[in-house]
Amino acid sequence: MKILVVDDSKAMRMIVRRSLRQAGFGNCEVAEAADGKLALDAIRAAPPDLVLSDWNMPEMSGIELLLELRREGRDVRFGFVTTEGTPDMRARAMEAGALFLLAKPFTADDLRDTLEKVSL
Amino acid sequence: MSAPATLGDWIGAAEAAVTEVATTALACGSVHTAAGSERAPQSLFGAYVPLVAAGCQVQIGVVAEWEACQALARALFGMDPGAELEADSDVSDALGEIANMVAGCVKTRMNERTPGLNTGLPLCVTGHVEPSAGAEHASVALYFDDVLASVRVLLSPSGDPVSIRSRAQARAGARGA
Repeated sequence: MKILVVDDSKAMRMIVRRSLRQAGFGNCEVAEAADGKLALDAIRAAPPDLVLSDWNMPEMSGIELLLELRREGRDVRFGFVTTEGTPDMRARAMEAGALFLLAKPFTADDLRDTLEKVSL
Repeated sequence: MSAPATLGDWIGAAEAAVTEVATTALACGSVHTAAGSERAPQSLFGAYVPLVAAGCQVQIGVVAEWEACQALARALFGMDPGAELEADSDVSDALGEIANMVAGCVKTRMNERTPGLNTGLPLCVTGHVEPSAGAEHASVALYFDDVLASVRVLLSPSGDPVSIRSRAQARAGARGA
């Protein structure tokens, strides 16, 4: 399985990678993108099985990325890993087609439970 | 309609938020308030994240001495306490992410009281930070295990932008802003 981690923070991309390993997804191929625009290019070139994206990023936000993917008819599985944990943000994410919104800070167990709930 | 949140409400939410982040993302065994304001460090590095809603502007900051920031970065990365960080930008990035998580937790805690808050991108600064005129500010010094850091709140009750003015230059590595 190929997972694309999208976050403008190198620290956060590293933490998501580590958490994926700790959550039992160490065999997955993990790629990274530093903002929504770079992620969009990467997904157009080679769609991953899952996108794990931050919400607030320069250039193109996570929600803008998701909306653009859906506008282009791309149904790649998409989840948010973000500090935006309020009910209205969760509603916006689900309405746009996200599978889940995992709020930071999170543990490897939280990540595993979230991914298992969406049958990954 | 409830009264606007006060500086005390914000700093209370920020202290609870930073404790949540410390005990999860930083894997701290204990977080406790420093005994006195004399322990608050004077020469600081830190990261600030804006929270903005109609009629309300807040900056949430996490600040500490540079060596303490390095310790917090190691904790965030899951590194051993004595391990060498690759670059100063790793510390900036880590403090930005810690401040981002704290601001997100504050937003969740204050969402009912101050609906419609939007989160901005982190800005890292070095030196003594002075809020713009008219802004209220408060801080709480905390020990994350044995690492001393402070969480700061700068609040503009009028809703005017809270600009951050540092007596030293911004350190490289701030994200986005």
